[in-house]
Amino acid sequence: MPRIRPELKRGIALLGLFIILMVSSDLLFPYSIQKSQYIAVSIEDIKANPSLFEGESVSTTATIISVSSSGSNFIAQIEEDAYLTFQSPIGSPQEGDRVYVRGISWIQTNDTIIVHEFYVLDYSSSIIRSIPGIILFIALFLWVFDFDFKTFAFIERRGKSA
Amino acid sequence: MPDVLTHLLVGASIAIVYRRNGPRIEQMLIILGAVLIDIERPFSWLLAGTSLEWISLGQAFHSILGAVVLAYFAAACFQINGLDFNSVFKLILIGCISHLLLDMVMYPWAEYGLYLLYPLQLALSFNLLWPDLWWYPILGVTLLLLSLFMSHLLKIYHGS
Repeated sequence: MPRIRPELKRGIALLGLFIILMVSSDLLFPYSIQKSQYIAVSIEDIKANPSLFEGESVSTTATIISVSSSGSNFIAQIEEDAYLTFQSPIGSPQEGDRVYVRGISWIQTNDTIIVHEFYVLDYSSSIIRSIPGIILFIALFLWVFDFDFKTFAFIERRGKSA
Repeated sequence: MPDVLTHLLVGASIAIVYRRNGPRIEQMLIILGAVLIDIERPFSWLLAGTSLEWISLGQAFHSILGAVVLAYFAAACFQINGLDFNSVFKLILIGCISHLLLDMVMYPWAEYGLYLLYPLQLALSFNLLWPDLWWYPILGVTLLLLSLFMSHLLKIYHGS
């Protein structure tokens, strides 16, 4: 059984205190102070209280059910009676896309959010793109460091330092 | 937030410029810091899978206090000849700060929370780009090539 070094004891204690802080701050301060001009809100909350968000800048995520065009605008249905209106210069998402949008809510009067900007979320490609980074990091780390069970610490791999 | 590869490439760029003549071990500690902040992701994914999603985990680690705690803990896991604890801590922390700065570029974080001053839940961001764009790794590679070029120029200038 290796002796735990004082630095490691302090590191574990500090991490433990931080986790306690995380839990207690979750309980004491559950709400954030928003600085963005866009209010982050779910589409369900907008639909539940449309008057509260009417004419307000909102940021939300939604899944496109269907897309149609009206003049130069694209209209995407996201719920039974909720739509996103995209003006053509900012592009048009496809059916089935999960999108982040920023825009102005007119759900109460027109069942729509006028989209200023949008971004198609693609978690699967994000994870796939992270895999080369994780593999490269592990390879580099193991190239430079070795684990010493006697001291229970990462040490320099012999002969690999410049 | 950008992917792991982009964070790694940016960390490597900083390491090449900041520790140009330093040993590989010091450069690797900066790279470690650059990816360390996202160590909560596997835990967050696991928690999400059990419907115990704990958003605070990501928010707390993506803060100055979180970076200091993680860098301290990580530094405590190393025992390197010729490098004292403070030097290891400093190098890892530099990488962590690069991670936070890169994440601050993206604006949805401001709405959902990059709480730099955690536990104060005040969202801060440069509000420039969407997260996770496919070309972020290309930006990382460009930065790496620029840093290699800069390092080469500095070598010629200093004659070392």
